[in-house]
Amino acid sequence: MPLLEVTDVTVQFGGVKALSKINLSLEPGEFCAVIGPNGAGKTTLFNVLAGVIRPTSGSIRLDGEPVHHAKPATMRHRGVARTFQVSRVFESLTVVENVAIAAAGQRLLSPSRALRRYRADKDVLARVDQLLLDTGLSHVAGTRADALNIGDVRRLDIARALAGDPKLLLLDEPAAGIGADGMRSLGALITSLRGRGVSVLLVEHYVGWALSLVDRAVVLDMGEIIAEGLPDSVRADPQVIKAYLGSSGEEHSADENGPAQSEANGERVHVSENVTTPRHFGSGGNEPGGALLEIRDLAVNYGHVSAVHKVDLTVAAGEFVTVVGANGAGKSSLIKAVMGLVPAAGRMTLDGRDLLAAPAHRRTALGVGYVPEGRRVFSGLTVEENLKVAATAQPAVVSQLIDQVFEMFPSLARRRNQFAGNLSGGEQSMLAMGRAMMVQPSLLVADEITLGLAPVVVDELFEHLVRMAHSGVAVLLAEQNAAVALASADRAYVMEVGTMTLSGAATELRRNQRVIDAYLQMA
Amino acid sequence: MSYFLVIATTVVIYAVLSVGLNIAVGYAGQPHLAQGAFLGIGAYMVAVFSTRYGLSFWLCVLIAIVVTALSGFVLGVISLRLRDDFLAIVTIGLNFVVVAIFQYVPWFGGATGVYAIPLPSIGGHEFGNPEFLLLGLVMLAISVAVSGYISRTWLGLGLASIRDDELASASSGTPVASFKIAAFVVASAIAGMAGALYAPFLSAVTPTSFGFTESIVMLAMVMFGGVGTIRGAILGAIVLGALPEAFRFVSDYRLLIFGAILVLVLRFQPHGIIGTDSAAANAWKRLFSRPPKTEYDASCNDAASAMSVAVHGEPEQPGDGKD
Repeated sequence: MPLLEVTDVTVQFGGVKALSKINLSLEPGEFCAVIGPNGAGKTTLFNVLAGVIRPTSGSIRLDGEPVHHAKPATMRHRGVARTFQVSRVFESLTVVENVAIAAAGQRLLSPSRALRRYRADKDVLARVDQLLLDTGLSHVAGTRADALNIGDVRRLDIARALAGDPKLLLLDEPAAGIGADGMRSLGALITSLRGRGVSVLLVEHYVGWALSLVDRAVVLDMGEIIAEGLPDSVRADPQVIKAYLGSSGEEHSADENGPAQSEANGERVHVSENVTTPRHFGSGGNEPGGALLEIRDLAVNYGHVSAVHKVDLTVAAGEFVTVVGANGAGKSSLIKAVMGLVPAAGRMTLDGRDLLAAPAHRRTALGVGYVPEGRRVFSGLTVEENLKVAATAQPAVVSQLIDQVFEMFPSLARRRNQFAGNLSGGEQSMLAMGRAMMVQPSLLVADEITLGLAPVVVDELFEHLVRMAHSGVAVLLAEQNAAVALASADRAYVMEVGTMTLSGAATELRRNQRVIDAYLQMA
Repeated sequence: MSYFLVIATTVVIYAVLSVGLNIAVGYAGQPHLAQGAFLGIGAYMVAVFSTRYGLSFWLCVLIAIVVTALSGFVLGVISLRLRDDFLAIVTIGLNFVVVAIFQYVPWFGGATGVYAIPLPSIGGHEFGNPEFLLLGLVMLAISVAVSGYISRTWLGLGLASIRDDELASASSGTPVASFKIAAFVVASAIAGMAGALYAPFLSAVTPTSFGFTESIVMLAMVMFGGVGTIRGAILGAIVLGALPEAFRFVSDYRLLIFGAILVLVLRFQPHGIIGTDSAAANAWKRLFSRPPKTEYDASCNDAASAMSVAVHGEPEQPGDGKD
């Protein structure tokens, strides 16, 4: 009998199907990876199994018993333990105490049973001690969890999950942010769990790393399982590669840039295919060859985690530059650093003026427009109010700017008095772009504009970005959907684990096998 | 002398209250702005039952503790549905509900409250100021013992994990709901016990003495001394309880000074004067802890290092067992 049996599980959030009819089974002692691009439904599946989210329909059986109405604590008592994507250790407690809570078992069933000094439970503490030894944490046993480095925090999260000898261990992106060395030693730790008889379900975006640790892999995309099998067969599956890189670039330009497309679009395709070096569109006012945005040696750190490391990047006036890379590569952190939303070190100038010294709200005045990830329109304001709020110019100029935005996005003009919250995802993206244009930027920075949008809408948004670049506004776009981004941009950077590993003309990178490797994290 | 005893007793009662409040606020991390209401419930139970029904003081104390514990259970159940600021607002509202009940339910004596509360007696000996102080100290010892014991139990550890991260705590198997309720029950019962002493000590209770302001003062005591620690709760009660008296010579400005000290402490010592991680606690650790033989001591608190010794028997070499 399989340990875990997931049958036809569907999860619906409002109108969105996060998971649709998922079937999955796991034998005792089996190690299985769940991979898939951002937004594929990995985290939702994980939360369903951990008892955080109830499936809309379908059933989950553990050892043959249905469990789909269980809560996290119940799941834990039934033998399903989990770790957290952003490790959630108990910061004010020591490593021993963190693990002891999870190892307490029956002691924690009710407050009255818990009225016993924990130090008196030598058997529990002995188990904790052994577990710390097994997970390589003995040397920090008495250290408070908030003083640990990120690698030890991950180990602690796993040690805590292992306490109480679970039958099934759910690991939620354990490799995030721990670096190459950390991944090696964490991989060794995960492999060492095979002796325990525990089954492991590993959700991970470092695909190559994850596949090296498991017996079997399941690939999710858009809430469905698109491939399943041995690690090697999954790795070579063209459908998997397509899911990671987005719709294939070649097909994209052949199928969709038909005669119905705008002339500007046709010209763009023609031009970009002939270009191998950065080139500049007309009216930016900069000398040819002069960089508008210049980044040198940029670093972004979150506590112990290094998200961006030694990054150099330039964007010329009127140029469309994209930064592609897998989820977690550091793209968003880079964009946020340009906008001043995360502390960054290094050098960053826009048109010769220092950007790093300026706080975020001053950077708009210096000429940076920002399209945040997830759009973040003001849903309680109308479309027009959203634009007005962002404006910094004189009232007379503002109405001109609004007209320009409406000219650029006619579908917004039709909805100018509707609440932004009632717009479709694509329209909200346009509004976010339009809002960024209200500060009259010389550089537009955008973060993952395709997330959760239909391919047709994605194409339309990219047309707008190309047109913006043509009109002289430089564009810096961080995008996971590499196929579409590389088809539209002039130049591209490939980002992996916080650094730029490749850069060049977008058209050339489209044919580069290294980009595929970067996405599947084979390096 | 008698004036000093009155001040001292007041301070001790506040200490009992803040040690109790610390269980909900400090251990379990729940915002709780209604400790004053529970003080009131305890005080009114003693006032009504001893004045009107002539029950013995000691029986009344028991009634006060049981009733406040039950009220704490209700608040605990409410707290399960609400988080953070919403829970804080509900606890604020609770003060006004309780005061209104005292005011408008005739059984509680209406707006004039209950007066001429008989003095407690023990073996025919009637309480004077020294006895009040003595009983207050006994109650403080009880609340410190209960609170200190809880912090060393699985319950205490579970509450700390809920405070740090509720979802992770549930995922580690902690029954979050019943643990939270337990924290509110114990915190409230301790307030009820303090209230039972407070009523005969004042000899009269009025509805408005147990409002929101009192609750704020108690929370301030916990925060001022250092949230999560018994020593902090007691120091907060001593300083903030005695401060209004100490500044009596500038009577008009004493509330201003009181407020200013509070603001300055929370601005520059957010962990409280002697709380965990406060400047004073860290200095104490540097001065009096043995030079670290292993890397344990660097950042762990006393309980933790005691625990790791208990676990390991003796310090291990760094790196043992790794890889």
